[in-house]
Amino acid sequence: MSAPDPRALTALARSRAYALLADLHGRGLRAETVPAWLEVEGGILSPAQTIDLDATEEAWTRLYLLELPAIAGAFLSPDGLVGGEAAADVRALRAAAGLADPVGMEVEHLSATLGLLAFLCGAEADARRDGVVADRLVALQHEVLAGQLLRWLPSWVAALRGVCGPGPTPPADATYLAGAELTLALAVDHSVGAPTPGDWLPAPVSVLDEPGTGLRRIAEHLVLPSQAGGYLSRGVILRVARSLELPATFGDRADLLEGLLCAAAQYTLVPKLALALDTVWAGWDAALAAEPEWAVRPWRRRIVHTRSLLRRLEMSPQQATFPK
Amino acid sequence: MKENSLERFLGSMLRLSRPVPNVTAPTNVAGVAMPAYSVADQPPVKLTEVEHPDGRLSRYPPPEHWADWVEYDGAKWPERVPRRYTLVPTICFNCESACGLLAYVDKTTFEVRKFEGNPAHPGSRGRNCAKGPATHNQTYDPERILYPLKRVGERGEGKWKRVTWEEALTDISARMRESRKVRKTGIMYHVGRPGEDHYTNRIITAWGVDGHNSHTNICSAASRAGYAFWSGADRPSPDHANARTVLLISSHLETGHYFNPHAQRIIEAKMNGAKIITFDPRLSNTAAKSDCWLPTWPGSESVVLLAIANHLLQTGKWDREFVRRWVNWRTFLSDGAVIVEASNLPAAQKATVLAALAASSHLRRDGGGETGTFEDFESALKALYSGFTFEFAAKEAQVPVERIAEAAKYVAQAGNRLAAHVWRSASMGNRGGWQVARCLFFLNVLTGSVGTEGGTSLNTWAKFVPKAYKSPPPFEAWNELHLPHEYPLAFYEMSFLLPHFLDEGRGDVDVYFTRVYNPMWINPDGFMWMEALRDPNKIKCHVALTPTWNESAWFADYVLPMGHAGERHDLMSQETHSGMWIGFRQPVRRVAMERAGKVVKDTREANPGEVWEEAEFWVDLTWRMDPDGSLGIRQWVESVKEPGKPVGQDEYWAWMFENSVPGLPAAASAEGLTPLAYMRKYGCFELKETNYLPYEHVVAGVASATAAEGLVTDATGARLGVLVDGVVRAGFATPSGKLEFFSPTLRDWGWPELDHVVPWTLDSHVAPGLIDRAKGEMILLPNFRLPHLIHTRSANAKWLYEIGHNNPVWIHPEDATRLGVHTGELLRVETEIGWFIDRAWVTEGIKPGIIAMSHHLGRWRLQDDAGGNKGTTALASLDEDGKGGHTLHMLKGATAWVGPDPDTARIWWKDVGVHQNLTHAVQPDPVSGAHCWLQKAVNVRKAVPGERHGDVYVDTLKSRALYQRWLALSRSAVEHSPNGERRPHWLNRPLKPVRAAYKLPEKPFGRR
Repeated sequence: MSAPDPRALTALARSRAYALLADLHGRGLRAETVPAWLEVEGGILSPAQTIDLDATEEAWTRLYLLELPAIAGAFLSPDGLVGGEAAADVRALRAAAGLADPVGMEVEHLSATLGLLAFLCGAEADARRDGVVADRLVALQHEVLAGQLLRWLPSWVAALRGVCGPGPTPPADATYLAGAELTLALAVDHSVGAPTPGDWLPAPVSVLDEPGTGLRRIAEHLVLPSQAGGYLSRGVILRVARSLELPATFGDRADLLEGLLCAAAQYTLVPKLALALDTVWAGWDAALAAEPEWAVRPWRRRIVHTRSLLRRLEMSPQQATFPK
Repeated sequence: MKENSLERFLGSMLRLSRPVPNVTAPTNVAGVAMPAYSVADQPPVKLTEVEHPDGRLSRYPPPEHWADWVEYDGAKWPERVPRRYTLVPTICFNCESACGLLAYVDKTTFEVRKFEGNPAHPGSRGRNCAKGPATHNQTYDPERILYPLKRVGERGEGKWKRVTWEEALTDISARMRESRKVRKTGIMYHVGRPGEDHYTNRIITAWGVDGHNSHTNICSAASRAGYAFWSGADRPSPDHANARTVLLISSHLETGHYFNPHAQRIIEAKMNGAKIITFDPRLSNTAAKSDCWLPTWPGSESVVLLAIANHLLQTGKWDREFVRRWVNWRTFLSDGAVIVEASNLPAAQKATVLAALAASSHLRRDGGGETGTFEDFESALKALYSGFTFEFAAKEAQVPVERIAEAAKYVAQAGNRLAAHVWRSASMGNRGGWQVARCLFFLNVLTGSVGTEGGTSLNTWAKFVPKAYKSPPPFEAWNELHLPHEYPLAFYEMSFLLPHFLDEGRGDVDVYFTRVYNPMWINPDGFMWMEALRDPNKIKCHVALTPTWNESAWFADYVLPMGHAGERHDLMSQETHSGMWIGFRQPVRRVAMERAGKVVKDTREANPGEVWEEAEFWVDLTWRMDPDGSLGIRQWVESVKEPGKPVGQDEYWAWMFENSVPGLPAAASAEGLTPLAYMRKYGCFELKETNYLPYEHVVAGVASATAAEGLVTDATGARLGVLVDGVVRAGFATPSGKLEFFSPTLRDWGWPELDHVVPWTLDSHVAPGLIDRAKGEMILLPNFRLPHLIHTRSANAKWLYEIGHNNPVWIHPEDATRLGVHTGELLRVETEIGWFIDRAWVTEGIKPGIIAMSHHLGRWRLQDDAGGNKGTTALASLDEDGKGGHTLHMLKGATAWVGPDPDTARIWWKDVGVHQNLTHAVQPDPVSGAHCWLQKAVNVRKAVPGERHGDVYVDTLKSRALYQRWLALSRSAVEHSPNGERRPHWLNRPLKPVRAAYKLPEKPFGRR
């Protein structure tokens, strides 16, 4: 019997890894998957770790459903909505692999895309084991990675780091952060050799220079990842508000940020608010700097652009006359 | 993350002992979306091209490439898109033929691309009818049931909640356990076409209850009885392909029983010069392709057959030697005189017969050693049937006398190559229909074409049911709801009378399983079924095991989703021709996943939603019924390899194929496979290519010289064989070991009349004298098949319904003119218990005086968005007057709708037929117990304004009266049993209890 093709083993390992991670991001850490995670070296759990499943379930609900959607369209689309071009792209990739939309989950969800990769890697492992040419499967994997997943995953991971905050991260949150970083590392490693795309984000707009611009427009711009260069979550907005002792309002993220800008204007704290927000953007930029240049270049460009906007806000001499 | 950390992470993935989550599983979109398929990296593989001398397929994917098959996607033409599949054989689950299918399972997505024929299958030989490929429709039917459901409102209210399998199994098994602890007659499994041969019967036996209830009495009981009284086997297995003459009573070429395996062989015979004779009052496609079509008046078939028999006898064109050796003529000589004496034969004819019988009868009464000579029998036989002339038959059947002579000529020409078959049609249509089978097989006997090449074999010679790894003992019970004392000779359970039995207070049912069966829709007198199904005091818990909604499941307590042909394990064997084979139905996605190295512990992991397979379900349920083994039940589903755990499918079938199928281990070994792997690869195994004349086999080691002519037994009374001309041979499974022209069983069990004990004619309940055509009465022929449908089972197949979806009333132009009706106009057909409204189809293809409707159509649902497929069922409402009157109102026909399958938006038809069976009274044949399907249409007229297509009305008070009228025809074992038992022990039952259970009850229902 000949030795197994090492590429088949790698594909199998990747398939299993993607499957575990897909389940983690899609359903949270569960009693069913804890034993597997405890067996894994360099995973998200350490062997001696005490696991509070109630806490991990709460953390998953908070992080994935309330704070930070792990959905491509939220990051990539010009309007920040899901179900658009990004969904169509993933759907096309799935169709090429022969997969229909997943049941009970957005087609462009991180979990679904990882599931697709798990599936393709599994098929590659089967093909290589059978001595069948797997070039097309590898090409499809690269298409999923470079053409889809890595276009937004680094930004999502950076945002998650921001959500988890600068201080000590609660163990349950840390589990998902570790999973996110592991996912990114796996995808980056797997993408070696994939053709690298150019800038895939919409062209940046100078919102402060638009005629009739106002706080609402600025807020909408800042919560739009494909323009702002990152995902400003509700928790981060509220944290910034608390740090400045400004009142927080209600509503969606744009409403929250608009309310915060108004409050800052009323209390003449716009420069401080701009500075606090710039810290958020700087954190994202620092996080992205460690990732492959091609995958983060468009994001870092938007970050530079947004930080320049924030600097202009910070330098604004007369907050009270700022357009409303 | 550091690179070496990632390497460690990935490395540990290869060492994982735990399963990873199922995100890499097949897409499994069946039921919720249409499947998608991957593009292959390889060019197509070439088909095998061979020329076979017989009817086998000549172009097919070579089996050595089944595990990895690439072909272009025809739907993508002219683009060349290669698809890569693993081909997994399975067995069709639609009709009873058990044809082989080959599932093309995408190697990447594990979705099923299509079902084609399995060229390795000995019965179907790679060919299928439309129903086989349509399995794909059923699999991806967007209306299929994907999860266990539990009733939350009143029965029939249509309120359901999704429950877990755990919840359903726990509740049902607890009910079964409680029932079993109290009695052995409280659990009932009611099955339509079983589609498997032993598995569930073994489970029911393990429960220790008399729990099997079949649909046989609305399907084939009469034919079975006719064949069984002759031969001990209850079904014919014609060797059509090698016949010189094929005689069909029904439309076998396109719709009959074992339609696909038979049709291809009949065509093979026709191409080799065989003649085809068809009896059918309807110009079926088979009749149209026959050399001789006899549009016999219903009930006259046996007269025509006996006229042919008489022709053979009078002209000496019969196999005298075969009859001498293999027919129980001595018994007729010894016992026949008293029967003939009591008969109403014409005096002169009677005298001639009695003269022939006189010497032997006299000797027998004197206790003499001689019982007469074969010449005596020959004389008696010729005299007995001399009245059945062509002219008499022509008059009775209302067909030209020349046509009967022509048919007789073809039969005589056949020599011992007469292949004949009757299943439903005349035998199941008429009271006394079992005699049609007796008379038909009489021609096989007279021509010596019994088990010969080109003749007619018996099912027991062509069907093989292997043994399981351990078998529970017979149960100690007799459920009178199945086989009541009034029908001691019934074939089999009197299932279609169950609502009446419950209505009479004969008993009740604790747990009632309907298994891929829709009794309320398919049985006659459906509103009586509805009344029973609604009553929780009669049926305390109703569990419907079904892949799709049906009318009866709507009234169930649980609806549990079960798999289609590609989603379950079953073993089947059918008597499709003179050979012998087994076919293995498999969950094709599960097999494909396992071929890809994936571990599947439970077929639910491979099936859509939570659809299960019965084989695993029964084991789980049985285990839970007796969790601690205290009832002695659990042991029968316990693993041998892992004691204390339930047996798994691999273990179960591996044992069977290794130990219980002769020749299979060797065939597998020749390919370097285990027997189970062989069956998973090919899906079938041929035990015998042919099996001619098995009754002639000489029984080795039996000292024949000491035995008298007749049955030979050992010291314990066990049968060894039958002595024929000094040699002990295998013989037949009758009490005498011979073919029983004269049936002592019928005589001894209450039917001693001449027209019962020998092949004869019995007056049908729709004999011409009982149909007053002058008063507008007609015969409703309600039971012909359509080639592309199969009752409830095919109602979720869009391709099949597009082919045909309505069942208009066939009516002859003469009758149409008389009634003033044209094609497409509405007719009101009144039966003895109600009426229905359907469209007329005026055609010369039906005999005057008869109207005909297919019995496959007329499905309905009570809610717009549940209970049935909107393209194949009509939306209806039910109404009742509180005095037994029930009305089914059709609200809306088939409609198109937008769903995951784009085809549902293309449904162009509205008419999905009329549910005529509701208006049929139960008409149990007093001997065979078969429902006599032909209905007396007491009035047929053009519909008047306000009468709507599809509407049905039934008065169940009339139903009850009709039931009593027919019940009165029966002859109870209480009065007629010769030995104090309920039924002749030698006659088959689907499951036989211990002998002690045969003892008649001390207080039989309705008797003091």
